[in-house]
Amino acid sequence: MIHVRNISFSYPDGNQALSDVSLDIAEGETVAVVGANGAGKSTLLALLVGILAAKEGEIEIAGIPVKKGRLEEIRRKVGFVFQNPDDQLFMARVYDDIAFGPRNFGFGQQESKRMADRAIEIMKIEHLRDRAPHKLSGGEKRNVAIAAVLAMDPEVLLFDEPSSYLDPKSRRNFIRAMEALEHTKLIATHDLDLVLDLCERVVILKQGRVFADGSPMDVFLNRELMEESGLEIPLSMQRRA
Amino acid sequence: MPNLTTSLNKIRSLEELSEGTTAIHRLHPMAKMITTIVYLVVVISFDKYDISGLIPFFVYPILLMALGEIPYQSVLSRLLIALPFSFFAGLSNPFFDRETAFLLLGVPISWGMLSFLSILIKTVLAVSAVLILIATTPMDKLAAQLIRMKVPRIFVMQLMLTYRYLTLLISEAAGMMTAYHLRSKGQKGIRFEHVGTFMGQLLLRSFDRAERVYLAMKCRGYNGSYQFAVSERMGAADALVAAVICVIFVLMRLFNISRIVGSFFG
Repeated sequence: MIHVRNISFSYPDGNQALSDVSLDIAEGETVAVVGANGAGKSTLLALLVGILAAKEGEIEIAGIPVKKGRLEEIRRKVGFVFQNPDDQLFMARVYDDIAFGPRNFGFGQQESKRMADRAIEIMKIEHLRDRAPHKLSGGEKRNVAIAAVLAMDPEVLLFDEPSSYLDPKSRRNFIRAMEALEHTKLIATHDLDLVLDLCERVVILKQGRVFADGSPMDVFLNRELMEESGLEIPLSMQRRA
Repeated sequence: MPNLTTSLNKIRSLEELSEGTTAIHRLHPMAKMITTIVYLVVVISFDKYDISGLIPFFVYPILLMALGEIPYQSVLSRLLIALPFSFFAGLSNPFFDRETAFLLLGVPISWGMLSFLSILIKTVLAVSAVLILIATTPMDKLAAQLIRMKVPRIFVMQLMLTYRYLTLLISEAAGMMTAYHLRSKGQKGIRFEHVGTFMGQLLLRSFDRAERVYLAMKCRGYNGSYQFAVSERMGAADALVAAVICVIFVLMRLFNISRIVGSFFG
């Protein structure tokens, strides 16, 4: 579903964010990308949807090569949930925000409504439909942001720090909602307990390179590896380690 | 800092009123928008000395506030923000236009005083009409009607985004000010030499946010022209209400009600 081949990327200020990263993610997999601050997680996500363009290497996502000219197709099939829902919810009413994608992609009024309704149903946010986004709580905003992405019926979902801005209960609800979704998911996060709950595979980035790739249990229990990549063993596992 | 937070709450309190269910709230947004526009045009079109003709127009905001159950303090307190602008714009009139118009209880009233007063009255009427429109109609419905009135999409989009992000900008500024005050001992406001960096910071943060919002929009297929939802048409009953109110406004413009009422007692 996602194929990344020898990708390197550096920002205009010379900061080398990714060097020679390769990664394959199969359909239906839920994969976490973790790593210390500045390890390249957000850069990787931005490259996958063509927000940033890599100078070297190739990326293919949902069967489409990421390059100029194909970005519109990619954005239909790949849903990107931003770290801060306030960046993503820009309309004055929740419903309009959720219908924003379908309307832009030229589905008619009827079809857009049907698609938005279905996303609202999946995320169970019928009661928020006519509310103003800026009056919602953090958890509600997150759910609306996910619904807004689901409305386009994507094949792949990308999340940037999805558990930030969430209180423990909202975080639990978020995990439950994620478990119900069968999409291919790539989650960039610092929340390793979330990774344990949700992901069958974890990729650790360190200074722009893939440092480890395996099942969360194996990777997180490797104390040496975790310390070298600037991470800590999740609290829930510390006694076992 | 308290000022910023208070004004943030004020902005929200007015829009919260728009979720009411009175007859005024239920009136179709288009009907309200048309009557407000006609009202504004009629009020502004009065001659600069014609105060007696303007007085009857106070009926409209008073009636709407009563019917729409809008607390008058919320409208009056916002009026105070707009009044200083026209106050200083009109302040020179009494000094330049000093010819006496009439004597009021032996005190000469100049034409300049009259035109100054009429500027203030027009401001009060126009601003309160718009505030009442906002207090009785949700913003997204207003935007949908603007599209229907063939206002260019780019302006409507701009209006909506400004409305959406205004509260975020204020809370960002409020957060920065709290952080500033916590580290500046017993000092009120921001020191003059820090104002520049403070505003600069706020501007840079706004740029960053604008960038992220734009990317989020692009990720969901935005390519410069957003298809707004088709809004419901105005029903016959609402159209009739709007038409009747507009005709009344025009009649009030053509016939001076104050003079007619006064003639009964004269």
